[in-house]
Amino acid sequence: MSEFDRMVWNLRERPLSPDNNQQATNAELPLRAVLAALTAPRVSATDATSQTPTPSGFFGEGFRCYAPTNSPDFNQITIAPGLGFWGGAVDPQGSIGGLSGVDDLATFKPLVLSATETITIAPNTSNPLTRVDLIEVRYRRELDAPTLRDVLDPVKGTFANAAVNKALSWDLAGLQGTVTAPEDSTAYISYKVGTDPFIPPVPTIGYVPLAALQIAAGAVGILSSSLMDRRRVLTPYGVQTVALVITVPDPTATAAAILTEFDGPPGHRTPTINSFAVSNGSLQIIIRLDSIPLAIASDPNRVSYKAEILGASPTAYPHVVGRVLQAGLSLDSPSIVLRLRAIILQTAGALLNTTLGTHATPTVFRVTITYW
Amino acid sequence: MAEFDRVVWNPRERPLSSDSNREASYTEMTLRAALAALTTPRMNASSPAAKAPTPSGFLGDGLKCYPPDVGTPTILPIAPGLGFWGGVVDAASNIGGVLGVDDTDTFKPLVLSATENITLVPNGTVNDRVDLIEVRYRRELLNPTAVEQLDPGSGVFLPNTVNKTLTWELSGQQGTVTEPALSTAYIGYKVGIPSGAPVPPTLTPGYIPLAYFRMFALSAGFSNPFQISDERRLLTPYGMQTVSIVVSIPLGVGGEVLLGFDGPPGFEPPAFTHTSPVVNNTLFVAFTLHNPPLGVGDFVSGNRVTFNVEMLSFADDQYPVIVGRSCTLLPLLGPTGIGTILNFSFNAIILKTLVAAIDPALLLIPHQNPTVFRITLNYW
Repeated sequence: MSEFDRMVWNLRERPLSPDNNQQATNAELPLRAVLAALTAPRVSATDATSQTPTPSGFFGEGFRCYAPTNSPDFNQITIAPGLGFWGGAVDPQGSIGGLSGVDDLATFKPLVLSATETITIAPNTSNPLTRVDLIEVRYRRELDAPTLRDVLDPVKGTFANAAVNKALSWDLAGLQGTVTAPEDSTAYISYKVGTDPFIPPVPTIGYVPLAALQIAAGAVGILSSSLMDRRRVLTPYGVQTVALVITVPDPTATAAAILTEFDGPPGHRTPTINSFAVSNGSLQIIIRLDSIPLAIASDPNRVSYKAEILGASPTAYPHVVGRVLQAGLSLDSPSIVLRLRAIILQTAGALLNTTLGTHATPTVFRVTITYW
Repeated sequence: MAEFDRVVWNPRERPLSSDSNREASYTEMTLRAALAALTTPRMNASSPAAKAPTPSGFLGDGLKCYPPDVGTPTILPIAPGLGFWGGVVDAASNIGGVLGVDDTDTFKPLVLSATENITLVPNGTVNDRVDLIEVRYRRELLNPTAVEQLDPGSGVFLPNTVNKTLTWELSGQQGTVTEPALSTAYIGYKVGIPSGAPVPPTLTPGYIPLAYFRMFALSAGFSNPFQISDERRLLTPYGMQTVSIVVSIPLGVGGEVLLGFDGPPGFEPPAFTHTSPVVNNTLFVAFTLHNPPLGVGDFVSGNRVTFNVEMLSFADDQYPVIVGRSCTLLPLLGPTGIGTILNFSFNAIILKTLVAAIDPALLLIPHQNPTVFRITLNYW
């Protein structure tokens, strides 16, 4: 059947349990197909086809890992509840658990976490080196909710009480386990303790990585800055635009720039900003965006940007140029680093002044960055 | 149970009405949860957390109160469409005593299937008045239908009348009250108090505002479309929106032409002005967006807008330079503080190159007439 096909019931037709199950299967299939089609990116700049299967991803902050106390002495992280989808290889399943009509035919598999999950970190106290760990998940698709119900005995023709599963569940809450690399994960939410000081463990086949954790030598806990979000945030067609408003309080000095506003999806780490006054009246800011999908951060050509400075004077014309300094997997996160430089062209009457104007105090940059 | 979980039916299991109802409840809960997850903005610039609960909002022009540029000025039409109420958790199970008819998701549908016309209450006083249109979700059993229902005592099916629909439909469910009374109808028209300095009526608890509008003294209806402030928030992916504008600006007085506007439905087009004649070959352009559907109380700063402007160049040796001068916010309904006007302005000059240098004699050359600007706005 196609995504929007549905089972029908005919007048006076004897109802069968597979029909009811098929109806639920048909009702869920279109939603998953639409979400997969809506969030699938194109293959490449030169190939207009959609990536198949749709890559795994998460809505907003769903499944984002947090270090709640930001302390090397606190040994727990949390995973935010929410929704995601596993988009790996095709894995259709008909008659799940032997129940006719309970099918899962869509390639986009729900990853559902209904409550905050807390994971206890393995200490790194006996290791002289930093250790990198991995949090990964897989989808569930399991019959659950055993319930006593009346079931027909076809020989006697009477109903008798029996325990049957009444739910097909995707909920991952509470279903966690821990393994040590290179061992494969088995639990739905798995904490894989690493052995390498720089590289996270290889994800288990069938799993989606959520985060890599850098556990310092001798530490029992983790800082927020050492928790690397590895999720891909689901956006329409995989394209995302973020906008920043950055205030440089004193353009003549190496003063800290302030991120006045940041417009990004939930779950996106707040960018870090630096500013510098450089030679010839040029003002430079450096923007670092973390938690970027790895495929994007590996290719600076998948990043475009526009930047401007609002000017209060009708005779001063800021001119902003920029370039991508780095896009790639640094030690702590897949990231984009962007450098912008601004000068002020000054007009005098109907002429352009040959000297550069001075920057306003404060100077406010408005930057739009699009990646895909 | 969680989103995407579903009821299964086992072979030869006795069918129960609660199973069928629960199956429908889960299917709908999953759709609503996915929409909420897709449209929830982040908490703020410094926190990656999602806003909780997901703020209320509307798809496109759903439930938009239209300015009276067409039709009768004493009638305010509300456009049909979809929205979602995202207030505090209000979970209900076994609604109306029907087992399995549940509403456990926080994102509640606001559904209007046909244009709803609100007849305005005339303002016969010598002072202005600010009125309010507000709405709440319905979630009500109706559609009484004759069915056969099992009598467990006798074991036979007997005729009975039962409600067959759980409805969210708001069509025709309107009512009018006067401040300070609370609205009770699903679509509430709350008439304000005329005053020399009119204040908007208080929002009824459990309602979200669709629009405030100013009723001028001694008037029975609208005389200009900017009397209405659209208070809806548009549902967009993660609460972010980009709009694009193409405008032609002549060098003379007036005559600005909006050539293109790429924005979502429900978003009023921008209005342009420009300064003429051009001073020192610098062109000053200003434009305003009235009623951007950004959500009441959610859009508080011009910092939540970025805008980029560029100008097409018609000659190989001409390089336009444009700088945005300002982006400010004003209340639409004047001193009431209600509504939003976004004011933008920018300057443009053209540099001319000569061989490998910027021409020192012909700098800041005149603009084309007309000049076409392309503007992109991002807001959140």
